[in-house]
Amino acid sequence: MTENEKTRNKKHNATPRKAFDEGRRNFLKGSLTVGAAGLLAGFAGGIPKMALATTTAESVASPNCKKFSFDTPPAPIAASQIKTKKSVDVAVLGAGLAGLCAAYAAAEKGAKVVLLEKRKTFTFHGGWNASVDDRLHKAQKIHIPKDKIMAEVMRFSAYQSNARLIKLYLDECGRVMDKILDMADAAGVKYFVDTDNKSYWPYTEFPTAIQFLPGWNFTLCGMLEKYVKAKGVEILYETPAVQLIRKNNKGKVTGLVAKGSDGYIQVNTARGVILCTGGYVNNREMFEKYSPRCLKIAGDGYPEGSNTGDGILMGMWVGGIKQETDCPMLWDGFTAIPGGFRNRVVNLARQPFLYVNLLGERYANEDAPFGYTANQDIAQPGAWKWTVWDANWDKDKDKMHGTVCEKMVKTPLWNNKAYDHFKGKGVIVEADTLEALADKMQVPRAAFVATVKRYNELVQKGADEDFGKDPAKLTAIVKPPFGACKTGAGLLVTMDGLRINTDLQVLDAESKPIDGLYAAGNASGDFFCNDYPITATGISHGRAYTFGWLAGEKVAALKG
Amino acid sequence: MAHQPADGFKTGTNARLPAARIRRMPDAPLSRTGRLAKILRAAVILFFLLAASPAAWSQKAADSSGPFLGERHKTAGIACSRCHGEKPAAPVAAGICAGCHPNVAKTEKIREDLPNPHNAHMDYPDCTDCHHVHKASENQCGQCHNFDYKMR
Repeated sequence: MTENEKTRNKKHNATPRKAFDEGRRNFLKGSLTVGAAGLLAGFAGGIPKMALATTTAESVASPNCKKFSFDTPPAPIAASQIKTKKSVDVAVLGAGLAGLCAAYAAAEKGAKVVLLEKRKTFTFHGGWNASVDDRLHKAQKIHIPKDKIMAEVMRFSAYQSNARLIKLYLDECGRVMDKILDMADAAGVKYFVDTDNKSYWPYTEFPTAIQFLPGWNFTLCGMLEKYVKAKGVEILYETPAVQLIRKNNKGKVTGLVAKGSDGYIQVNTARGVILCTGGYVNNREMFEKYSPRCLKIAGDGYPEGSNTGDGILMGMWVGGIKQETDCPMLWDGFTAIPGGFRNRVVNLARQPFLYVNLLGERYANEDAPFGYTANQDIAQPGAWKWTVWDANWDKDKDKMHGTVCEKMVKTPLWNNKAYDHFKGKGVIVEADTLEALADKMQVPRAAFVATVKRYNELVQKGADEDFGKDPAKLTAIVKPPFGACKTGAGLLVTMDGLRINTDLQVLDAESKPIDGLYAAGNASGDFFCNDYPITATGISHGRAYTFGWLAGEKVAALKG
Repeated sequence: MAHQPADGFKTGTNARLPAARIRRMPDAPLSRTGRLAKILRAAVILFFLLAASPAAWSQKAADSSGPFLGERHKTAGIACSRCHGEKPAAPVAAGICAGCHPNVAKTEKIREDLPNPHNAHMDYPDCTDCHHVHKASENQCGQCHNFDYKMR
């Protein structure tokens, strides 16, 4: 038995990764429950003992037998409980990128629209919005072949996506983006195409993404909200929809019931309901059933309280079907900060320096699209990794230029101040010898020193004979002090939603469209499977604005 | 990746944070001798501080964004002891800022054109994660985003 196998066996029954069931700071509280298995594990000094076991077979398997709270549709809300009623042509649920576009497009076509949102304000994420053949790309003579994007999305999904939906997106996104750019021009909002792309064997990035300035999608969604209001759409914030109305789950969806501050509101929809409620990143129970991978995350990128899967569940309660495969958008680099702050990303740790697992071993090509990297990270013992560098990190980082988003590390966005901040928090550890660093990292000394020695050999050779990393990103770990940072995968959004057809209609178990029910954005499905094709930069937002817009147009065009 | 084009787009106003509403915290009543002792102690401490570090109160932030928060508090008539208690070098208790600045974190609009950094999606719970008192403040959002908040 090797040293590593001994270590692995010794620690095998320790803590699996906890996920969402506790408040973010409950790390301090001494014990935790993991999944349905209810395993208890001790904590030392507020920091989880870094266990080598990943989520156990039982805790993943048991959800399949478990009855979930959402498996049974809730009893319809009685007519006597309805405080107010209103009648519209179109109701849009969720004021994110998809919902704002849906509401605007429907109102532009002359429909009477109400937009319901559970939060106090609109929701926005990120800042890359993929488009091809829009006027900005054309003006800059950036031609992106549609078949290449189709190939990327289908490859990431292992051909489980509905290629007709991807074709729909590719055919329509440019037209919709042109409208958005016109709106931006009229509002004085600036934008540009992100052409900072690169290529190596695991990835080829396309300059699909348009960014709006200065506040990324805060700017875009804020602008859309103003346009939506100007079109006369009634926006009801803090008013979550709770049930759709479809009599006996047959025929048409005729409206919905929402919960306002003064009680239940019934909204009757003459033409249709468009579900734009996003994914389920803030619904742990849905992870257990639909995406057990997400139970292994170290942090959540968007814990703002939306994206609880409401629209997906409401759609299923009236006969809709969710896509079978999951598609979390996993990210890497979420900290394991002592004290339990879960939502911090260390961008330096996301650069393709040397990655080792808790056994002190290198395990993959570090220079991969972030979804791939995150999958590798959560496949490691304990679902943690250490990123390791030496005193030259400040120079070496400029060689990295990792895949999308990871290049944020370039100065001035990441510098000595940020380094010192995380060092001060104990997130980055440093030592003058590799042995001492191994001790601080709590990884086996011999294995770690051997790993670094081998890595330095590969640097010398200028070829990663072990995992095929781009030689440009091989940087030696020779100069003390040596530094390391421990991070795990985080979750941004989920992209597996309700099955839809190319009219954006939600499908039932027989793949027949449900009359009057539409979905767009992350509440819709069959577009992404397995992993986010980040190489088609910004295509999740691309689907959101395009399908939101198309759904709005299509529903508005119906006869009431 | 978030880089703006090299020429950059200057947008929005550099809206300042609304002036902090400084409120007096109720001091526990002290006896005359107690008060005298306190004043004496503060004077001694102040003397040593100034002697040891003559530049301590005039140091400017490197980015010339103005005096550090510590100096601004002093200018506003707030004694070191308000935050540090009796010992000037003592670390400040977490949450002490909220005693005078109770609502900044969630409700106040910072900039029209940028997301509210005080309601961010990343976890920076302590004011001093960004707002340093005796050195230049840091925009932690800047680790990922090119949002040019005016730091105080």
